[in-house]
Amino acid sequence: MTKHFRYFLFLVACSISLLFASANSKEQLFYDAVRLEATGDLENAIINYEKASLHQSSANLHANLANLYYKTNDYGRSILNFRKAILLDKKNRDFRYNLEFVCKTAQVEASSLQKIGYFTRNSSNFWKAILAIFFWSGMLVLSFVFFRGFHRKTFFLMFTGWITGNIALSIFLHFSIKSEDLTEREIIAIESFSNGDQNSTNIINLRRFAASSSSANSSVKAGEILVLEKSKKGEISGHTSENKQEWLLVSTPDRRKKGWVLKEEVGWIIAN
Amino acid sequence: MIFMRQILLLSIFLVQGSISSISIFGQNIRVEASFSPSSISSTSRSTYKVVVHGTQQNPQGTIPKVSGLRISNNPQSLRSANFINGVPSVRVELSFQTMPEGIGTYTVPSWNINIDGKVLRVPQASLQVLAPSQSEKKAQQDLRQAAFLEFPLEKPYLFEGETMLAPLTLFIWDRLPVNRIENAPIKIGASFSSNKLGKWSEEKRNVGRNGKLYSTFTWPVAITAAMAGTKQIGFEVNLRVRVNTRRNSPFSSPFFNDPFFGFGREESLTVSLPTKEIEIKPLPISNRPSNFSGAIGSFQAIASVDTKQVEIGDPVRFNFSIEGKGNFAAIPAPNLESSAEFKIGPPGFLFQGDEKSKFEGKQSFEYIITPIKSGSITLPSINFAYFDPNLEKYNTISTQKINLQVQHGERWSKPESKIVFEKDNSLNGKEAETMIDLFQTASDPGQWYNSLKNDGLEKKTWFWMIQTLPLTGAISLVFFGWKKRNKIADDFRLKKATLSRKLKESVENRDAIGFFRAFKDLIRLQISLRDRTINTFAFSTRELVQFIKKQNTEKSLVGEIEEMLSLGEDLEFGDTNSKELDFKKLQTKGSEILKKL
Repeated sequence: MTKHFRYFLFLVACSISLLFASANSKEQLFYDAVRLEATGDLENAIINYEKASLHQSSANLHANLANLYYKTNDYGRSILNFRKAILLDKKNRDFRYNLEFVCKTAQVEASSLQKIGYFTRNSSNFWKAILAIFFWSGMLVLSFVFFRGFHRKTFFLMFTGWITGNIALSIFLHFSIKSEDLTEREIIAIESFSNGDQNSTNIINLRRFAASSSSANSSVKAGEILVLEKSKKGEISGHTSENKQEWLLVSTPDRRKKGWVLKEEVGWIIAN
Repeated sequence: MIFMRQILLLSIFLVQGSISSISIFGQNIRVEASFSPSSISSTSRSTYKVVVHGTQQNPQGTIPKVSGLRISNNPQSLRSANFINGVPSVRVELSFQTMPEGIGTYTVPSWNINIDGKVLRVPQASLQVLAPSQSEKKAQQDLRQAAFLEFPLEKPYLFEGETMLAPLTLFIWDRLPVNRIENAPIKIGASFSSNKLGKWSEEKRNVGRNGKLYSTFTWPVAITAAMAGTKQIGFEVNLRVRVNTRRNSPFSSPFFNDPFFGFGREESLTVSLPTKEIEIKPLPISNRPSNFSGAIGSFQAIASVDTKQVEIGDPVRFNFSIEGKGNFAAIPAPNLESSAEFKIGPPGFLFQGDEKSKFEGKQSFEYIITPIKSGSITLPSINFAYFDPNLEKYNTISTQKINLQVQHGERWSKPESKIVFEKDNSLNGKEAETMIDLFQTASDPGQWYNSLKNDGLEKKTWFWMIQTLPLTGAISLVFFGWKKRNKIADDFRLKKATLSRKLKESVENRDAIGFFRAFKDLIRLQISLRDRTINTFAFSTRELVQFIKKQNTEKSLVGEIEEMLSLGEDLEFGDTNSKELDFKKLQTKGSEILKKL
């Protein structure tokens, strides 16, 4: 066994042990949270679940977290975590019923834009796969026609059909990507704890300007769905004020309400 | 190995000598060997000296091995040059430190050295080792008693897998100038496992032993026997001590009777526990319970839950505790399985007692049980089997069964929702059992995901890898198609040239049949360009004309072709005479037809 090979084995062993260490950490946090919940220490159970979610996500983790937020009357975060849980386990009916129940309790709409699965007809992946299949099937057929020396007219007709099909599928793909982008920009209004240990409020103001002193255009309840607005450049409209507060321009899905919210006042379902 | 080193060192000296040597010619080279001092006590050391007169070249050779006498492999060399009565005198001296292992006379036999290619004989030298004097014996005993380890065991044997707790005590004589204990005791021998030893747990001053006063440092050591048989165990600990810097101390002992005691250099002193032999008995096979999982000791077990009234989905803590003395570190958690009535998560471990030795205390296994059915749920009893080394028999403790009363929690009862399934008509208006209980806590995390965002197909390597297959296929088809087309075009050109030549030769030779055959083939060849899928050379005259007609060819041209082909057939199969034909005219007409076609 050469020195290099031993060194390589050592590195592999270190990497594996690091992976296991990371895995143990998040699982330990999860099980500790379940134990804390069993003892009635909901506050620390939430902290442990949140810490575990920083490592990786799991449907049960978000569902348990959502349950705890519901039990502590933090409906916004409860709805946010149930949506995350459903995103990871779309077939779980319990999560859906829980979400509906929390939405009903919080008096907010339960409907979501998120109807896109990994490979459903709405997903861009579906259209990407269809486009790839069509493109290469057509390419192979045309190559075969060329190989066999078919009549030019036949070849031209087939080529035209292939190009038209590709354009049509590309249009579908474009719309599915747009739809996914909208889904990714979906966020949930959550209770704000901006004033330290003050009581939270379940009304989130949509302000006219990105400033705390600005008056509100309108407001939404914690747990309501909002959509991040995009600028003309295609970037999410945001603003960082002088006191380092980060503001986001949001609107309701029906675009009836629009305004600025603090970053802490919303929870990202898919990505942050 | 030692001999190899000696050879190497002598070779190094030889190289050094060759650089700095002064050759004195004319002086006889002679070799002397002696011990200095030639008589020592068994606790002292002597120096074996080899002096070569008449040269400053370093000698090369191998010192013979002497049983019972350890000779240093790192000799010191000394070169000197003098003028004695106007005569130059040079010599080289090699000094080897020696240490006898016992009393007696040790003789280094005569051996050869090599100087400048000359072989010289080193005479034999003897060292007399005498018994130590009374004061030396005392000093030696003092040294042995200055620092030592004690490890008393409760009994002389252990069972395989049994853990025994015993104190390991380090005694340090008050007169020994110890600066610090360098490390925790290290176990010697692989037949036992032990707890990790850190800082001592107990420290005592002025402990009398052997007529001396000691400071003691004690570590509790839990040793676990790994395999049956008679096995050895030892411990070692290193102390940092100040030692005498004076080389001419009356004794070899570096610590005692030194007026500069306490002002010397620091050295490490290893204190070892004399190797102990312990018998390890195998565990009896007879009457061994099937659920025995390696617990050895004396235990009591108890099972409990934190609450007996719960709602569906609420986690309940189920605690199984073992208390007593034994190998707690080797006891696995009892295996509890989920059932149709409850889900059970992996156990949490909690040990109350000495965490380091894990020999005596209380080991708790905490399971989180999530009821998934309402009503009365019975948690099964746990059977814990262990081996009692004092009674030398197996015991089994069974815990009592625990009943949980599980109530319904909050339920989703929106009537028009799809959530209520399969209403049971037999309930006659009672609440349907199929309704969903909300907010149940999952006891396991399930599958972990790195991100909630779905990765696009374009980010998957396999997506692009798969596409290389049709790409390869398409490129291959186009390449071979292009190659094939080139071949067909070449064949076409060749065929056309051959037929045109035949047509011309037929005109020159006035061969009417040959002329019309060549013309017909040229028509077929030209027509084949219109549809490559059809073999026009298989067409009869009538089929050929029909095919030309189908290709939207001008009627006049079709007529001309038909006329020419009919003339050719009449000539070949009919009575028409070729002598009447104007070949020049026919050739011009044929060329025009082929051009138009």
